[in-house]
Amino acid sequence: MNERPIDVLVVEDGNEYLTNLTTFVAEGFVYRQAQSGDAARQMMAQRRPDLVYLDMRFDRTPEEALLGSLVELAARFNGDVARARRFQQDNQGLFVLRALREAGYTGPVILSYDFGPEERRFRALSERDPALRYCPDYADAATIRGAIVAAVQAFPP
Amino acid sequence: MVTRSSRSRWPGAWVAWALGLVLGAGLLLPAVAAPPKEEGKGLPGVRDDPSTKLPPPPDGEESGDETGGAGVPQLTEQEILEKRQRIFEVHLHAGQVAQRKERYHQALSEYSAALELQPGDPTALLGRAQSRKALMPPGRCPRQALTDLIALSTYDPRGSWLEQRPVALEWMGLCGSTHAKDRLALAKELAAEPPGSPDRPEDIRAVLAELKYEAADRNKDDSEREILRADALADLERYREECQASGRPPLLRALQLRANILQGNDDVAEAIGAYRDLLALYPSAPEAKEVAQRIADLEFESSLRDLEKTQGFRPDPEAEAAYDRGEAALRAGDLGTAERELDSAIEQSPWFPRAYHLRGVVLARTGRFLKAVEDLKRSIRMDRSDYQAHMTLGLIYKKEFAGAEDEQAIEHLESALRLRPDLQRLHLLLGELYARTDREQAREHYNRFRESTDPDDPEAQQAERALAELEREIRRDEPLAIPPPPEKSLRFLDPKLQGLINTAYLQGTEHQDWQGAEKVLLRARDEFPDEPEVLNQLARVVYAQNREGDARRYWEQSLQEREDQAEVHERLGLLLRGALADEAVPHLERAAELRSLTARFALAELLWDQNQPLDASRELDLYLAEASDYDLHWDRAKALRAEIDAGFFQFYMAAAVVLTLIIVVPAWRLYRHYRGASLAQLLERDPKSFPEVARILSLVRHEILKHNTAFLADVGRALELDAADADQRAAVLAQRMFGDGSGIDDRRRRDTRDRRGRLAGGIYGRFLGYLEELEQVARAHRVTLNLYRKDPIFRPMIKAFEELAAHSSQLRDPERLRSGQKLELAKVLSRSGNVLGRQAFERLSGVIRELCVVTVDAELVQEIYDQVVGEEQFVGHGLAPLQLSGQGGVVRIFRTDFEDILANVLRNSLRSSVMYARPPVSLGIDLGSEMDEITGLSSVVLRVMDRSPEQLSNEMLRGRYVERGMGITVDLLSRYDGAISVENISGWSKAVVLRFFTVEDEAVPGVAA
Repeated sequence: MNERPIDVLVVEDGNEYLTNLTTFVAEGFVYRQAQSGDAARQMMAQRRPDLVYLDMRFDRTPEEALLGSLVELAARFNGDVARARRFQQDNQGLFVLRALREAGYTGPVILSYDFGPEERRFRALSERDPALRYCPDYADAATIRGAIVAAVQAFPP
Repeated sequence: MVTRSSRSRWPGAWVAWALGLVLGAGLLLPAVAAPPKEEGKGLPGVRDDPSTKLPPPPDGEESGDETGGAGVPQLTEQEILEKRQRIFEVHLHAGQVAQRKERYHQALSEYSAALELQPGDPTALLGRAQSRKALMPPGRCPRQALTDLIALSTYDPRGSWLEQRPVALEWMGLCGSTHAKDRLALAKELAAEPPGSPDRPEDIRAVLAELKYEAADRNKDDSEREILRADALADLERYREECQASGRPPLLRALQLRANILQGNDDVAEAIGAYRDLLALYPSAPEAKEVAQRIADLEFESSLRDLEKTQGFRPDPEAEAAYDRGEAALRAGDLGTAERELDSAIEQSPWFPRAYHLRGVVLARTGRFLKAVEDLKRSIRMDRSDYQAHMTLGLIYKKEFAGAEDEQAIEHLESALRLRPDLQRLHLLLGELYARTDREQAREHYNRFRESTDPDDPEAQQAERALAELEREIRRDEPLAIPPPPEKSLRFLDPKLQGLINTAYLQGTEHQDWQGAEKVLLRARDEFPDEPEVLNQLARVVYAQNREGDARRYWEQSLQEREDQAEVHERLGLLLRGALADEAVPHLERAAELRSLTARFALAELLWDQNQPLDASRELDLYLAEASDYDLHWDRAKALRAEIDAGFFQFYMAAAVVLTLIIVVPAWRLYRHYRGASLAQLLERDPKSFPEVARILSLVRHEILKHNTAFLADVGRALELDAADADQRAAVLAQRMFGDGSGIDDRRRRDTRDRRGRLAGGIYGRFLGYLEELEQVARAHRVTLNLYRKDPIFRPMIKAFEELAAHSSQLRDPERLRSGQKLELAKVLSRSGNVLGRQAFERLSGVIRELCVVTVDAELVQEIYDQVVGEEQFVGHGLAPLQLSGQGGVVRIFRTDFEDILANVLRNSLRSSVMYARPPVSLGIDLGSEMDEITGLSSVVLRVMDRSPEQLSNEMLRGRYVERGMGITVDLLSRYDGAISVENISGWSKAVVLRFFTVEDEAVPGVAA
């Protein structure tokens, strides 16, 4: 365990993660919050976090703040913009992840998403991004704490 | 010859001249034929102070200078008398001449002038009487002529008067009762003379009898009346003898009067004989028809009397039994049997008024009205006090004879009313009948009915309307009417008592002396204290005087003497029903039991008014079974039946509604409680709901479980261990789970309530919102979900949330809890966390895992291709075998949808190739996969390759430019987040590419948690 508190950047579209973490996983951690991909990049530029705790779905973030090309996505969905937007929101965490990596962040990222049933998918993702971890949705405080500590230890700053 | 001008000024000049004569002569010259002074009254044409002056002469020879005062010569008394005689004779002669020439006005003047000169001159009096009579219109009373004629009895009693007596008798006959006494006296005088006397009319005895009979009618003294009628009959007998002696037939009217008197004397046999005599002498007279009917009636009456004597007014038991059977059959509506039984009853006992009455009803109900009338008349003749029979007959006349027999209807309904003045509805019927002929009577009856009836009664309103149509005022001063005592009830009484009752009746009805009548009846009661009929009569008398309390007392006393009096019970019931309904009911019930139809109907009406519909209905049914169309209350009863039926209908409807609600509401709640399907059943019944269901389930996982329920167990443990920040954690969790208590879900901005009606905010509210969305999705697919009862996944989740919600207040403020309560709350949180945490995640994932998955491989593709090429449109075309390559993968789609999509794409490619490509036509399909670098999601890619030169682009596909089912294909693809595009590919003209997200270890493609 580091002597200083672990600096965690929480990226989410609301405040639930921040509230939960500061309430239930508070000791030994410092939390910052970004509510969009761009905000996350800016905060990361100000101070590199020890870990990024990343939400997957961003359906409360303003559409213009969502990352990813809606045009390309619409092409994938037969030109259906609504479906493309939903896909963009549902998978925004991964678009943010790609942006953070492109911005030079190589530290550990915990994606709050249950890849348990989608192991192949996580495998595919983690093969390209070994610092990517995930925490299942039903994880309790201890599990989250353990996941954060393990990730930071595996990829120290 | 007297000219018109001289005649016109004559009377004035003549009177002046006569006055001068009187003044000159004074009373010294009394007329020869002057009437005796002591008679007082002046005679016609006679002045009490005859003048000594002569009237001027009628002719010019005796006028002129001699008529002046100074020019009048002084005549001696003898000369004056002679002159006066001459002038008289001139006038008399002139009058006679004028009368002969039928110049009656002139004759009247001349005779009057003559009588001025010779008052009381019989010739002038007679002439003037005849002239005056001649001037009267025929049939009018010749009053002045008669005065002149009667004056003969004074001035010439032994002369012309004797001859003129028959004339006077005749003229008096034209004056009604004015000269009734004189006429009777004159007739007596004439009749007293020996038959054949010169001036005696040969039919004077008949006239005398008529006059005596008329005098009897006018006489108020019973005994004198009887004496006069007996005298009249005696005169008629003597008249017959005179006729017989002289060999001439008696007058028809004399014979008729004789027969009428005999009939009135109740001497039926003699009356029949008298009528027969009349009929024998005058067989073709107009009156003969009526006489024949009377003979028939009297003969029938006679036969009844014989029957009464032999049967004693009572039918024998066998007849009674037949009657009862007939009545029962009638009640049951079996008219044939009823008629047969009543025939039998009458045959067994010909004196059986009730049987005739009932048979009349049966006959009327079968449309044989004339026979019905005959029977009812017989019934009435046998028992004139049977008001029911009167009413039935009256109603048949009223209803069935289209106004032709209204008089008969009135007669019988009035008879019924006389017998039963308390049956007010008779007034309405009589009002209707009289409205056609006698407006005044109609008004009176309508008014009486209206006054006795509730204003809200429809019939009262009917009477009101009828009254409004009648214009004239009515006469209201008619004396009290009391029904005659029923003969039947008197027959068995002591003769003395009968006499007293009859006396009382006469005193009341004839002399309007009701108090006297009551006194007589009270005397009768003292003498016959055990006789109920006396009390009944007393009740009638006091009832007629509107002393209803006394009437009630007498009737009740009467019932104490004899209880089984239907009419008394009925009348008491009707009397009491207005103010003392409870006391009226037993009387009406008893009267109905004793077969009173009126009581039965009144009872039904009363019970209905007293809100006893079942009893009222039962009584009304009995009435309708027992009565007929021709009962007084029949129409009203039908209306009441309709009213009760309407009431029952409303009641039954209301009861049915209430009962239905009582049954249906709980049943509906139970049904709603237990009906419906689980989520798995929904997906099984309509798998196409999967995408929407999957999306909602993912949202539940993501929004409900992910950030929140995972910490329930943490807080539970903290509370259990009483950790330092346990209270704060609990409060945060409470805020998250249940919001601020307002129930407003800040995400969805709406109120949400749970099954118990509690406002549910926060996560709980969202959870309920998603449940509602699931139900909506299910309804759209015609399935009703019951997640709480039927779904093994959601039931524990819902229960867990509800349990948590029940402890939400404790969770918000746990520091106030005692340690025991905290431990209990900790257990609840732990249990809920277990259910809503990982367990819930796994269960929801399990649902999704079990859903529609298709393994897209070469075998499936080949199968679909074979189906397409087997279609008729491709038969006969040279098709090369399909070139298949690659492995494919598992995708989340229904097999049928996948088959439709791929088949459409293949069909289009084949069709295009058949049309545009060189044969043999061949298609290639490459099964591949690809992965999105960003999201890590992989897709199965099917490339359908052809060699058709036909152009196809993405825009054409997505814009649904291509017909032939491609629009549907694009829609289906979109439903599964699939994609379609056109690509160039080497060795082929083009490839239509289908992409489906691969099932990522059985997770939902495209929807993140």
